[in-house]
Amino acid sequence: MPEEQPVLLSTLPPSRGQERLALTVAALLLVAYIAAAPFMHIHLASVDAFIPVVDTTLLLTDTITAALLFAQFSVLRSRALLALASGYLFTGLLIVPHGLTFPGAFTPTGLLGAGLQTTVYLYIFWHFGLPCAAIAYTLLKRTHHETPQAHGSARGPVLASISIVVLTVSMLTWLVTAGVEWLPAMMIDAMHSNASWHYTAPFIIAMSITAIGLLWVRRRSVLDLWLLVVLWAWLLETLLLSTTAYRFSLVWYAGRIYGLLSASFVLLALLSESTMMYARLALSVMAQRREREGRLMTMDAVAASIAHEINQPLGAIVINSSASLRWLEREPPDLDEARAALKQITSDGHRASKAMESIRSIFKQDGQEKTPLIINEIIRETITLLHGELHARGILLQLELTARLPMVLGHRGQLQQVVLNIVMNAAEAMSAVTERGRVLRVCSATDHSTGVLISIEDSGIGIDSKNSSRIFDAFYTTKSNGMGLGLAICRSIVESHGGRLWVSPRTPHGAVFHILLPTGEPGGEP
Amino acid sequence: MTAPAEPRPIVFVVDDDVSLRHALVTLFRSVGLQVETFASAPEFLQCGLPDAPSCLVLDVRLPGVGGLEFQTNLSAAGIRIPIIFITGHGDVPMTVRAMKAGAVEFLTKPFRDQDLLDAVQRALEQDRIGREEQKSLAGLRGRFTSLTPREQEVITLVTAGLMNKQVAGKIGVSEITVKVHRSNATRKLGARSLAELIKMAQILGLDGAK
Repeated sequence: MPEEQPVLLSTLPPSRGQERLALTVAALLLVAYIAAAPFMHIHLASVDAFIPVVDTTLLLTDTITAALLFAQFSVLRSRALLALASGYLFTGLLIVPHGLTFPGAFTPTGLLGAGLQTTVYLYIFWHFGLPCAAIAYTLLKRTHHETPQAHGSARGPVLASISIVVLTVSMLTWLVTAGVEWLPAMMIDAMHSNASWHYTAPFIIAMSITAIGLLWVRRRSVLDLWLLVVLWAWLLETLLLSTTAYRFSLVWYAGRIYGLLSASFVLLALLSESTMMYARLALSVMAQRREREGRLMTMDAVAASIAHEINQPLGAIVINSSASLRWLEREPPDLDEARAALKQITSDGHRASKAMESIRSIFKQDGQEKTPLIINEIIRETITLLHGELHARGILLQLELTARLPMVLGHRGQLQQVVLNIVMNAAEAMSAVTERGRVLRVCSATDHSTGVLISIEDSGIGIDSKNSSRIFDAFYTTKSNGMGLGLAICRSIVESHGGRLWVSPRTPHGAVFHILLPTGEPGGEP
Repeated sequence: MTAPAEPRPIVFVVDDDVSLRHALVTLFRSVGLQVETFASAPEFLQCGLPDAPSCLVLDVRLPGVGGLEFQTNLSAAGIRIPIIFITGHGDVPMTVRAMKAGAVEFLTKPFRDQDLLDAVQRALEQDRIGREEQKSLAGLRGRFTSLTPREQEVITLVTAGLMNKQVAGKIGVSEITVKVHRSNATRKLGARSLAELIKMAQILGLDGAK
């Protein structure tokens, strides 16, 4: 059951291009990792400003990512998103004490009364945080279907999550600063870690792999895709750092840069996708507005053609009746003239009622279901009706109908009216032509297997390119002997069938009217 | 009373609807008006305009060139015929456009016959006056060109407000000669006073200041 879904990163399936891009980024990360492997243990100078710079950047990117995810949660109300946003917030906030306590970053031993072990523990918590959040996100995503729970305020859950995260971060910070002596030692001195680190790192790696595995199996959205890239970078970073026991080695620097990259990738992806989505949304809103205005104009044109169709005989009736009164009031009364005018009234009255009838038959919707139609049959029937007319006008008819076209779901009478109108139009466009043959060509064909295309070609006077859109207006006409109801109505009929009606010039003379009708899937919605 | 017999006025109708054309013919004939009908604007142009008061009853919605467009084309070609528009569905901008371009009336079908007949009478009257003006202007022009170049010069300067003496000084002849030229020219033009002479100069667009 397709449900009404807001189009967001967390619900939108990734395109082929996005998948390819993510895969390329992941591959590049791997290549860089392999390239760094031979230089694992090169010791570099310790740049004290490095950690504050990296941590500040991470803090910013992670909290912004968290904010964006909270925003998506407020639309979708998916607990999975809440978990992931909390994870990002946790990572972002934990970076603050990490930076502050890092030995040498701000003071030689670190701020907040940090011990030797403080920073490495913060690092471990931080790196457990995101894989945990990703796993929670993946699992919640499965159990919690994408039914948006739009009821209730989003502020409550968001505030609660933020409070919990802040509390947890504070508690962990307290634990690793004030209570650091209760924890097993990981660092031998400010530069070197001991074996405990080597036992801890595999847990982080295992968590990352689990998260990647779970998410890979259940990946669906653009967000999932980029989260996979993050976890991948996360895994590579931990792998790099697990192989070194020495801070400020090349590998250590590389690992940090990985961390930085991974955070920026997702943020960039989220931002660029959001911007693109916004642009697309703006475009579609504009397109919708245009379409609505177009429809209003067509409606207006239809109303005007109906008014024209009725007012024409009505006008004649009124004039004839006043004229016959004048003939009768003459001294002596001219009965013959009066009689002729009255006869005219009768035939004009019949004409008005006929026009009314044909309008009604076109717009009568109830009791007239759309049925699968064979377009060639409709063309043949209509042409048969007009055979005499075409012959009288000295028009050569060429029928080129493609056999076995797909059926079109539609109203038989309405489509016949359209074909009739356009054929008559073509015939009238050729009435002034004397210096060349009057040829009417009617073709049917499939259009890229999405529809049936009827083209009606004439060798008439043609239509100025500047008039080719005007001819569908109500106040413009190229025909007029009372047959049919004008191009405005034709267009609105074709559009009500989900199709299109347009005209193009024919070389060297004349015009081609195209009627494109979609072929309804059997049993599908029209 | 032996006024020259005026040619019979004629009403032209351009409407693509055949029954409306018939109805209009009957109506105009019932009040003794001569009428000719056409289904399209080009057909009307082909017939050539008679030398008689006439007007055009024009449908707005016509095949090919529309009524409003045709009105523009006519005035661009210098053909001055009063136009009465009739339409099945008039809207305000359309009416404004037609009236601004000099239409006599804009009637929406179905209209009252008296409204149309009144409009036609007004249009024919307008055309008659226009024709007379056109004719008298042509006569005046003819009389003016029949003057000698010297007389034309004198009249131009006199009607610009110059005294005989000033005119004489300007063109280098005696005042007596100017007087002779002036009285000859006034007679030929058929003016009875200086005021009439000045009016004629205005109609002819004479400009003595140059």
